[in-house]
Amino acid sequence: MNTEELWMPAPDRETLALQLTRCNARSTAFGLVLTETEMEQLALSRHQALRAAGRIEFGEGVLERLVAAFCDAPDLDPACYAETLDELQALFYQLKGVCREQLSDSELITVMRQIYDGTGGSLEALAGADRENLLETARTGRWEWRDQDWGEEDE
Amino acid sequence: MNDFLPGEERYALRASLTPEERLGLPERLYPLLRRLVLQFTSGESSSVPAEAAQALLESLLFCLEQGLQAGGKDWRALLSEDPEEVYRAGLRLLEDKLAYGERLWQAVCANLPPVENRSMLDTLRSIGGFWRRYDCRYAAQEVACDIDYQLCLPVPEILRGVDYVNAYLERLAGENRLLCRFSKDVLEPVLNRYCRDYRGLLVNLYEPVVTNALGRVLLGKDLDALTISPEDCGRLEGQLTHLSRTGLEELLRQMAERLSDQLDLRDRRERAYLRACARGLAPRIALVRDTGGLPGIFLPG
Repeated sequence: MNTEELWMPAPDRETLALQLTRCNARSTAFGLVLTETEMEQLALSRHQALRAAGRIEFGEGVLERLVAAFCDAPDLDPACYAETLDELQALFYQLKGVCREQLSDSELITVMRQIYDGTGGSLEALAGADRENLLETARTGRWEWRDQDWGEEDE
Repeated sequence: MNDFLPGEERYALRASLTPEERLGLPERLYPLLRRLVLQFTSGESSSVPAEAAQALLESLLFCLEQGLQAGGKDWRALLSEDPEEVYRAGLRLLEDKLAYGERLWQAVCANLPPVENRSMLDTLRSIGGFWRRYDCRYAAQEVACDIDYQLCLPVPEILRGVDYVNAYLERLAGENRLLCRFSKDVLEPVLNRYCRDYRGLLVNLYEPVVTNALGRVLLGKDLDALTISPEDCGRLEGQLTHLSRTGLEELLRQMAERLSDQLDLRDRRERAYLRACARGLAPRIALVRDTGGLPGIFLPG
């Protein structure tokens, strides 16, 4: 038995159904709807994302908050809604580590949305954000375009 | 679970719970851990790095163990009793131990031996900050201070948090009380012989003093001095050479008792500590007694 299994009980079907209802209640007005299967996949992905980010979560996760924050994003493609949420969820846990716990969940989600909007819905830009980017965006409330944020790969 | 719990708790759990009972424990503790994490992040983060979660879990288990100790219970009690109550009892006990430890620290600082050692002073200075730094809630298992001064008999590694610091202080207080039975003029020749820079280096002051004191008791000499002459060493060799290992240990035990009486050590634990220290000499003596190596143990003045 490993730590994730021990301390992060997998949500039961009832909990997932409730989460699905709440998520869709938020997003339906914007033409965004998750299916039951997609919800189950997102729950599974959450575990993988946490493991990849080396984190442990106590609670139901941030999916509902991501839905609430991103459902009205102009650059969000309804055809890729579930996939985008999946990536945003993984990025959230990754960026929690990148900012070294200096941003609360709410602050980080706000910053993610600002970067997402500021880059025309680029998940790559989010994935490449460093600690400085995140803290600066949280401080100023807006995403600053910088040359080094784009197109440069680590050598 | 077996791979997750830190050593002490794992041992305690293995010692008292069946595999079925162990499986039931995480469910009982999960709400407590979840609340602790939420408090730790001030409710601002639903997740924490795995290392932080593990440290919080260790702290929680340490507090629970304290609570179980306070109530004279084992881990099985957590399967039937409210873990929250056990946890609270643990926190209360830790607060009491903290208050006791601080008083002990003050007493140690007020009764330093007549000879100085920098690492002892640095260690006491660092422990002085421990009472403010110690975090019963989030890091109860940690020893939040630098303990450099080496005791004659180290504190068992299984002790953690305030238990470790208090055990260290109890041992140090006992060692220093014995050293205080002698004047600086009596201690200095032995310590200088033991280590030229005994004031500056990480050396224990108690052991060489006790060793020579035991040697003098064995020789039937008084404790007005601690020196042992080369002739004395020869006589010690004669007394120790033909003893079996068990005989040697028994002789040292008797000498430790006699020394305790002569120094008027009344505390049961201090006497036991001295006996253990004396017993520790047996293998060293056995190793060198036939090769003229005793002057490396009983330091000639």
